[in-house]
Parts: sequence; C-alpha cells; structure tokens
Amino acid sequence: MERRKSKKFYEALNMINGGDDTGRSFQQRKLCSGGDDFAKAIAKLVVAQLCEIEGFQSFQHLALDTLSDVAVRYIFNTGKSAHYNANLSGRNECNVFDVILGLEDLGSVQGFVAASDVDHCLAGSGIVREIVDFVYESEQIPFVFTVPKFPVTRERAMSASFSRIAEDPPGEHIPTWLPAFPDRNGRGMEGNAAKEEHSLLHLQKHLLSNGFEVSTFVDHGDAKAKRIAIESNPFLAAPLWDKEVASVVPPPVKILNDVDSGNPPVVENCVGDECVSVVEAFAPAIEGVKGARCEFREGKMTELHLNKKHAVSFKIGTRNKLLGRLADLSPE
Amino acid sequence: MNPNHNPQSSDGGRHDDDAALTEFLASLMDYTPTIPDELVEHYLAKSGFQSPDLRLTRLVAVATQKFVAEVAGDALQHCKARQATIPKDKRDRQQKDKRLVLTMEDLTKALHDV
Repeated sequence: MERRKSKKFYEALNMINGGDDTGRSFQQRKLCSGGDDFAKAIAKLVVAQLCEIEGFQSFQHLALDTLSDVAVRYIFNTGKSAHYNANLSGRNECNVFDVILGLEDLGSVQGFVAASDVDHCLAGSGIVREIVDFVYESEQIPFVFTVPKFPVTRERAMSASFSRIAEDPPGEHIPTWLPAFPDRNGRGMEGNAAKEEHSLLHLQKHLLSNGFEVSTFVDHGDAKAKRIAIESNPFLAAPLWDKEVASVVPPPVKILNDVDSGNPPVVENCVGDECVSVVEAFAPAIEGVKGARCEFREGKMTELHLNKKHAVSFKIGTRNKLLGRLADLSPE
Repeated sequence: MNPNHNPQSSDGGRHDDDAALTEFLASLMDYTPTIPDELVEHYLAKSGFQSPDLRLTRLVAVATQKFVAEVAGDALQHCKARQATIPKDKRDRQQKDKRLVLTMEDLTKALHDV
C-alpha cells in the first residue's frame, strides 16, 4: 500500500518535472482540463495565501500552479479514500474514521507517529494528534475572499403531471404521476406556435453563445427576415435534395459491333488497357432507377438522366486518350 | 499480570481518545481554516465523498492546510539554504535575490521529500 500511495506523489513529481521552464506542457494540460476553472482559481489564491503565511514574498506562476494542483489532488484523494473505506464497511455516508483512515493512507509515505502499529485505535491515531498540534500552534487566518457556494444548480421547470392538473391520462397504461401531454387541439395551436417560436429563440441563443452567427430573430410573418435567417443559419437551410445537382457525364465509350446480331450493344469504358463493362459498373444504380433513359450517340459523350435529377460529372482517363478515342470513332 | 486490568486500562485509554477526538471535532466549528469550506466541499463531492457533517469537511481542510504548509515550509528552507550559498558581495549586488521566491527548483525538492 505504501508503494501504491507513494506512486501518487511521484506522479505529482513527474508532473513537475514534465513541465519545462516555459511551462508549455503544463499549459497544454491546462487547456485540456476545462470546466473547473473557478475552483482552480480559488485554489491558487488559497495556496498563494498559505505560502505568504509561511514567509514567501513572491512565487513563480508554474510553481504556484503545481502546488495548487497538488493541494487539490490531496483533497480529492482523501475524499476518494474515505468514500472507499465507507463502501468497504457497507455504508455510503462517510464518518470520521473513514476520513482518518484516508489521511493515514496518504500520510503513510511520509510517516506519522505509531504508523507501524496496525491495531491502533483510529481515535488516537498519530495523524489526528499531528493535526491537533497544528491547529493549536498555528494562527487562525481565514481566506481573504468570500467564496460563494458553487456550482450553482438551476431549478428546472418541471411540467405538470396528470394528477396535478386533475386530468385523466389517455390510456390506462399511463400512470398519473407522469407529465401531461401537450395540448393537440386547435385551441392549443397558438400555444404550439408560441412554443415553437420560443424554442427557435432558445436555439438561436444557444448557437450565439456557442459562436455561431445568428443574423436576425425570425418572425413568422416576415418572409424577408426568414430568408435572411435561412441564408445565415446553416441549420435552417433547405435540404440537399431540393437543390440542383450537377449532371453525370460518363467517360467516352466504345460500342462493340454486336448490333447486327440482335444482341444489345455492350458499352465498355476503356481506361488504358483495362476495360470494365459499364453495365457491371452501374448495375446497382440502374436497378434502383425507374424511368431512366439512355441516349447513345456515336462518338459523343452520353448523358444518363435519373428521374430528372442531374448527377455529378466525372471523367476517367487522360485528355490525350480522349481525343484518340474520338478520332477512332469518327466516321471516315 | 492481571488480565482483567489490561482491557480496562485499554478501554479507559480508548475512551480518552474518543473524548479527545470528539472535543477536537467540536473545536473545529470555532476554528476557520484558511482553505474555504466551499472549495473543499466541491472537490470532496467530486471524489464521491458524502457526508452532511461539516466537521469532517473542516477536518479535511485542516489536514490539507497542514500538508501545504509543510511543503511550503520545506521549500522556504531550500530557498534560504540556496541563498546562503551565494557569496555576500554577490548577494548585495543582486537585490532581487534577497526576496524569497517560490521556485520550481525548491518546490521539486520539497515535494521529493514528502
């Protein structure tokens, strides 16, 4: 256990040694932490005050950050160890003996009085005596700032349940303690429109807070403002299928002379020396399309129309080969 | 050797320890640590610690304050020892070295001793 606990302080030491004089790796770690900036700032101020009490007149920023991080880890590991001891005893609430055991675990590296006595009573532990001596000898200096209770929890506005609004749920399988359904009648349509407007306003505020640009507040009666909002807001843009898509232009084809035999012409795309059957290549697409029509013109590009939608154009092969193919196909 | 005495004396000793601990925890309510309760409660809650008793929060706060004070004290000793090795005339020239500054070098040595 001593080896396990000493590992924590060596991790802290590695953290110190890992940060060079520029503190670049520490800054990278700082950027990745997130979400706990207020508590860390308070911890830095506390540690700075403690260092001043001890006699320091100034400090390096990296040293202060490191010491405050170590202090935070000490608190965290004490709580974690106390919680673990409480769970071992079959409890979820910690008592003073769980905390003393946690402090003994953390202090076992440095050592304390009567640490080797495994069967000692926790109430008379050496750790407790050292803390008592520290409290009686040190001067009581409270923190210079008043820290509010954090984090602040918002009260959620819960929707009323069936029992609260004295309404019967639409089905027997729905319990009355569940929130009531929104009103679907015409009387409630205005309320729905107001709710949609409110939700849209909330979405815009959320996007604005996250850095997206929101041009105007959309009024349902203002078409121009709506169009401006659609142009600026990517989430209000029209879906992709309504837009015109570029046409597909397959590469030049070489029609084999099988027309006289009555067989359907086999169109092949030749890229270099390798030939791949067009039917094989586009078989999945052709099977899924209804009403497609193909136009084959000798020596020219073909177009494939798919349900009046224009596909993307692509070319296979080099330009020189293209001209060469056209020269072969041109009637002489 | 009377076996009856030992349990009684040990029981008496344990009662004294319990009484001392109870008295100390009660005195913590009158003692305000430098580390604020809100900060300690925040990180204890993050670790899963659950207790409605404010005395336990104060106990952890005082223990942490003692730990940080020890580390800072060791770092101060290292800083003073380093300044003592500098020759006196050089120290007079460099005015800023007279100030006691918490540096990474001293902090590393202090944490290494922990």
